[in-house]
Amino acid sequence: MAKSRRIVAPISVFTLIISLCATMALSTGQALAAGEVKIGILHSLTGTMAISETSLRDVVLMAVDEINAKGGALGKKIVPVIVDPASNWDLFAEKAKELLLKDKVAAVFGCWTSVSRKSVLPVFEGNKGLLFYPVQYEGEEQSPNIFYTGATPNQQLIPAAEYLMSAEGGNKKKFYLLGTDYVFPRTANKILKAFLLAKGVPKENIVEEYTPFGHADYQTIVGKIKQFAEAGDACVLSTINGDSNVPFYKEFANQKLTAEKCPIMAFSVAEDELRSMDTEFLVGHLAAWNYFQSINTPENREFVKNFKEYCKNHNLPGGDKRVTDDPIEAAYFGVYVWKKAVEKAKSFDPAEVTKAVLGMQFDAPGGPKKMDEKNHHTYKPVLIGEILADGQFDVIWKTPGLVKPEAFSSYLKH
Amino acid sequence: MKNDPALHLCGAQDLPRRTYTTKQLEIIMDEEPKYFDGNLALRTFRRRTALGVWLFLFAVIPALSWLGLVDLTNVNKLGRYLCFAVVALGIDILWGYTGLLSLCQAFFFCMGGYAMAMHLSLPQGGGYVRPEYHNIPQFFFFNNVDTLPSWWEPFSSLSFSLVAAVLIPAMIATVFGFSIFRSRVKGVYFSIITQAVAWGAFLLFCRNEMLLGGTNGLTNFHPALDRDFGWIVFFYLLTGGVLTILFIAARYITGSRLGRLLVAVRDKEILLNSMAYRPLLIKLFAFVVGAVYAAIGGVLYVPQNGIITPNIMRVEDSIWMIIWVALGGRGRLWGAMVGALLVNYAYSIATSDMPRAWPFLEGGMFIAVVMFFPTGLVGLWEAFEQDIVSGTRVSGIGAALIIGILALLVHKTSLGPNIPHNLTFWVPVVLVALALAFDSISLPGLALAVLTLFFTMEALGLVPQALQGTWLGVPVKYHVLLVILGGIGIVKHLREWQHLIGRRYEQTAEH
Amino acid sequence: MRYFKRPFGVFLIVMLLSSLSPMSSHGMSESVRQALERLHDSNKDVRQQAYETLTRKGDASVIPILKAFLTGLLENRDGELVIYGPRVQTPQKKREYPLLDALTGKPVVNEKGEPQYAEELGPARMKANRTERNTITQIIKALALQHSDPEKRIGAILAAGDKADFSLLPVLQKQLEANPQKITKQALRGSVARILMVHGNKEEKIKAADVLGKEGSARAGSSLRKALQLEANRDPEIVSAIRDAMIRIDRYQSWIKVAQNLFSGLSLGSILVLMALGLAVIFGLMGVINMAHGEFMMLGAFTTYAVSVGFRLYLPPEIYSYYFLVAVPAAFMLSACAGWLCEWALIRHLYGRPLETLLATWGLSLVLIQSVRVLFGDTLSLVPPEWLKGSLEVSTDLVFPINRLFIIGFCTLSTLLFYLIVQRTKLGLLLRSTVQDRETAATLGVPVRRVDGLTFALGTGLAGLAGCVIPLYDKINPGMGQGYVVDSFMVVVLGGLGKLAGVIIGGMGLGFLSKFIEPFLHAVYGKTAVLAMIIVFLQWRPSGLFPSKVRLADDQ
Repeated sequence: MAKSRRIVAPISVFTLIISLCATMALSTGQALAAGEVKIGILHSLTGTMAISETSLRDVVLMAVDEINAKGGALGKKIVPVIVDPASNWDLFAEKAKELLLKDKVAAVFGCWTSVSRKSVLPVFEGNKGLLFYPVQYEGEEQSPNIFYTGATPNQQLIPAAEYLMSAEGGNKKKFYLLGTDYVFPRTANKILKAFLLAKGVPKENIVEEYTPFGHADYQTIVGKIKQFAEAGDACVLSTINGDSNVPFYKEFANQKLTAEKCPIMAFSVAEDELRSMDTEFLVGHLAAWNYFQSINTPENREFVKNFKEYCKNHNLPGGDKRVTDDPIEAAYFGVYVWKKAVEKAKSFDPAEVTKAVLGMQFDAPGGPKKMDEKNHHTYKPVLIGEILADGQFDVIWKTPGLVKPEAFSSYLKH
Repeated sequence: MKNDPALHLCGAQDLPRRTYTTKQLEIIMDEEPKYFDGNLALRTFRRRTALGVWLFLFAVIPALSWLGLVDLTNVNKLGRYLCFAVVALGIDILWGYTGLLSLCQAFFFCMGGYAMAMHLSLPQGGGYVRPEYHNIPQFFFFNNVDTLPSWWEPFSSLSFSLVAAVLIPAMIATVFGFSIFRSRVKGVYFSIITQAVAWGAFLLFCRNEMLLGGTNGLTNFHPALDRDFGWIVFFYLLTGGVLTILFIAARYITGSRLGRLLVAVRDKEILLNSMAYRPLLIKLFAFVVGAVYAAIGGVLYVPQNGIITPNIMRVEDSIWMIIWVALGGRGRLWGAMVGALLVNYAYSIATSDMPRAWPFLEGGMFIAVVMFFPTGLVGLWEAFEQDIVSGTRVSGIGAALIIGILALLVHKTSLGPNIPHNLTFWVPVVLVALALAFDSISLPGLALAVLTLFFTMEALGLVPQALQGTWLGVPVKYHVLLVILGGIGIVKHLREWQHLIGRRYEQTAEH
Repeated sequence: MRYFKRPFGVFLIVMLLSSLSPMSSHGMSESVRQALERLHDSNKDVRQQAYETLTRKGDASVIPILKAFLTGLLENRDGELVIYGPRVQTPQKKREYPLLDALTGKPVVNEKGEPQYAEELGPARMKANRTERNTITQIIKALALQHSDPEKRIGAILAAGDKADFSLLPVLQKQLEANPQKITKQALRGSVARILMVHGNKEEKIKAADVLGKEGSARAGSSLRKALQLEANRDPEIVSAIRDAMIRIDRYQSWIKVAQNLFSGLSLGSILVLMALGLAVIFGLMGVINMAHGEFMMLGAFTTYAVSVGFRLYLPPEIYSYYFLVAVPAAFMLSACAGWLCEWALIRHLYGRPLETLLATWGLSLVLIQSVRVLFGDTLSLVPPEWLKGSLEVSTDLVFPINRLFIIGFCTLSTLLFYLIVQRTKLGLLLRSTVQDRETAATLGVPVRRVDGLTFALGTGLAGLAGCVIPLYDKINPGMGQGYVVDSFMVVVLGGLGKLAGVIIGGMGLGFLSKFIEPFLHAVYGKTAVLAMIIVFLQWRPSGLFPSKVRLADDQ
């Protein structure tokens, strides 16, 4: 009796360990009913990037709801699989693998930062996945497995600089390129510098400066800008990221610099970031995007209304105070582009869908747009907005038509 | 040498196995009988379990993945967690044995990782480069650099990179450790300074001027590395092999006289000093060993992960590494390794299941470990082992679990599609309850059993529908799990409390 | 600009001069009113005529209307011009735009005499044609030279100098002759000199260079630099005059830079001191490493925010700008209570195990951050009270923002108060005795346990006070505390635990050091260099500047 117990004991304990280990190896996705198709949503919901990325998850879910209400894609109901990469770049790759291999999603909508995209890129290329990336970025990339629905540098930076140099923009002659130290500002400023030099701006009139993420003490830098702008005709081209903008604009105003004297043209400040900020310090400064909530068309008013209602009905933080902005629009129409392509290709196979997306024309909330025939990016209009007291932008300038995306900037010699 | 009277004086002679230092812990310890030493059956059992787990990890899993039964993704994930286990071993030597809480281990991890990543991102290492970027890694282009900097060139050789990956962190640890220990910075001061070092290094590595890729880090390695079956299994087995060797080495270190000196530094440094030992050198040794372990972990991690960024160099990540060891059980090498695997696994599933609540769980984990489970999983396990030694207790629950898991498997393989879903949940629960009623099992053992059952059900996707919803943003199943574990914890605490009162009462009675 | 460049400008000045004398203080003439209504006419010629009328007949009271027109806040409501004011709290507890009558500047009222508000900007807003904005700006500039508000007037004068706008010279000179006020006079003199530097004759230029050199501002420096380029190969006398002036300016400017750095260092240092004081007390007394110290600071910041929102929602707008006076004690109390609670629930179980407290408080910080994130959301921004906005120009070009001045004063006061508490009160006495010899103190009847709790609360309360002032220049978000905690620990390590002075010297030293390194090295390298210096410093003094004479908990 005692002996048999001795045998049972180790076996049972052994089973415990094995089952623990097995959980790591055997985990499988939830079963899928017939008539359904899965898509993945890969946006950080915790950590430093949550503040920006949560809205994109919300709008993608809204698009999915809308499509499902109208009968789904290719007659199938879309089931979103939401994961949280927690602003951890390593976790992005892991979650992307999970989505592609375990959940077998037909497409993934996600990523915000360049590094997260770089981290998942090999995963999508290796597993023949499909990613829709909705944020403006530095370019110099063109993966066959990614569609870029945000702007390329030539769809944001160059028009903005041209505008500032024009009579309308105030004939600016001195440019302070200020950014957070990561790849988008670095590349953006490299392109801007090349552009400005090509336009005959002397070298000493261009200053480049970078601050670390989350930098809060802008006393020294604003002091430098003040000296730089003292003689007039100066402007700041800012690629400062996220919440560093609050201390920057505050210090800017406190040291008595104004938008009339030295406007700040921001490439990373959109409505959603301004939503919870006190915008008093920002009024009159500029931003360049491809979409603003204030675009006054019936389609856009409808989109904004729907989004506010969606957030209210789903008890999302902010409720009907929520706003739309450029990345939100890009994330939203990304889902529709995918749906349209699926219906054109009559298949969920990423390769077929990719073929269908190339060259596709479609209507987005901000107006009709088009996917490029070759380079996986999107034709978009370029708009310049002036920040108003309510955190919205007044569109003060606009390109006449759509601007062709350049994945590889012509201002960077290769 | 084991009976060196000096060490005996330091109170270190019985310490390598146990590392509790506080009064509270001593009380708990006194309640537990000293069952381990000399219990041959248990020792054999332990060896067999370890061998079984080892074989399962490094023979069964690769075989299963070769047969296509286990996802390559999961093998890759497990491989990366094994790298963390290597780091955890180093931390255990440094913190568990020597008592130095270093908050810059993630920095050493990244140093190793970066050296390896530099090699892998160059064309000689299979890195993906393009002629338009002058055949050097792409990020140079963003930094206006057209030719490979001279200090990058040696990294085109694999052997140089490997040596550098270990030597550079070791050298940094030596110089830095020497200057710190020489000035007799110790205890929390040491932690604060290492934290500042990690912070400074993180800021530096984020700068693009460093030419190490800035915040984007190094990537674009050879695509096959984390994609092809051969490479994944190769790295998995390599990591397993290295881990095994390093584990044996760590065991050797901690079991030797040096190991006792480490513990002596932790517990009675002043005394050791007065006996003409030089704590400086001993501490330096532990610090360098910790750094080297972390660096080796980093070297193995990078090819399996495909990217390295300064983001995992932050102070947060170093503290995160500490919690692996704390939760696994410090002062026990295998506890550290198990902790690294389990905590990371929990992180992975929690970020999929309950994103918003995850920080609460993480924070709660820190507080709970420090306040209620200072011994970590090791403590739970040892209590469980105790059940096994007494033999009579565990058979019921073991049998119950086996039957329960079998029931789950039967359901899963659709051999019994007619079994109602809830039944598969209740069968094991009832069996466990029965086992408890007729047999008795210690509370930590019960906690371990509940956890096992939960993870098994989770993995097989068999959690009943009723528990699938969410409450306060957390899936109901986790609430249930927490309530059960919390209940066990309270009962356990109450018992201890009783003991304390009883003991105090006895003491006064004696007087 | 495209429509009227120089000719219009000259014309404008002539008009202005002719209308300079008696300014119409009573209301607005009919023609101005008509011109204002025609600003948005679709016919270009009508608009042009309106601009001319405004220039000729307008005065400074037209400026706000034109500015509103520029930014699109002017609306033609059924023939009445209305301006949207900055959003305020309405009696119905909503944040809305008050409507102001453009011509009188008074609130628009309905029949009952209640002021009117608009929830959103209306559709019939008038906005300046982008291409004609410069014209309007030009009009505003010219009108602003007559502005009754001296500050705005000076701004206009300086702007005229910036552009070296020759057309404005007569006005400026005329004002200079008549003007008594000192600051205005300075600005006028500078601007006249800068215009003459470009447009004057030889004597005028030399004289102007001298004036500018005396002034010493960066503004003057850049004018001189431009002039130097122009004159380089012409007149050696002028060139040497300019050179002399520039040397003078450079000397003054470098002095300014030092002063500015000192000031920045002082403001950074005082915040560090406030943060580190609490940390040092907790560490020194109880051997507890409080990694959640930054989060208690964050709690203080959110309390300040909540108080400001409460004032806006429930109290009349007149007293809104005094919310800070309530926020300071509220932040202190809340952080102190939270700290006391944590001590009771968590810390007291971990005494004597400093490394464990490090881990536990780290966990606590994660929980606090996420709780606040769930309750309040992510980034918020505090509206600083009116009296903390703007800046003080102490000397030419030496600008001290008022919020920073306030922070320095506030921190000094708090530190002083803390010092008094420790040195002069009974609590302080108990506290010091407990630090010096815990067991003896206990034997003598000091309730050491309660002193522990109160000390922890005091320490976290100090962090709460820091949280009160940090939002004056920084953002508020749940993770804001983590950026400060490493630096605060460095201050404690640097200063040592022996004396309060150690923390003050350590904090100030760190503040000055980083601010003096930053301009040369860059923020990141500066920070790293400071860290390296601290490690080197510890070689020399392992326990900081003022080592504690008491054995620490981890020395046992």
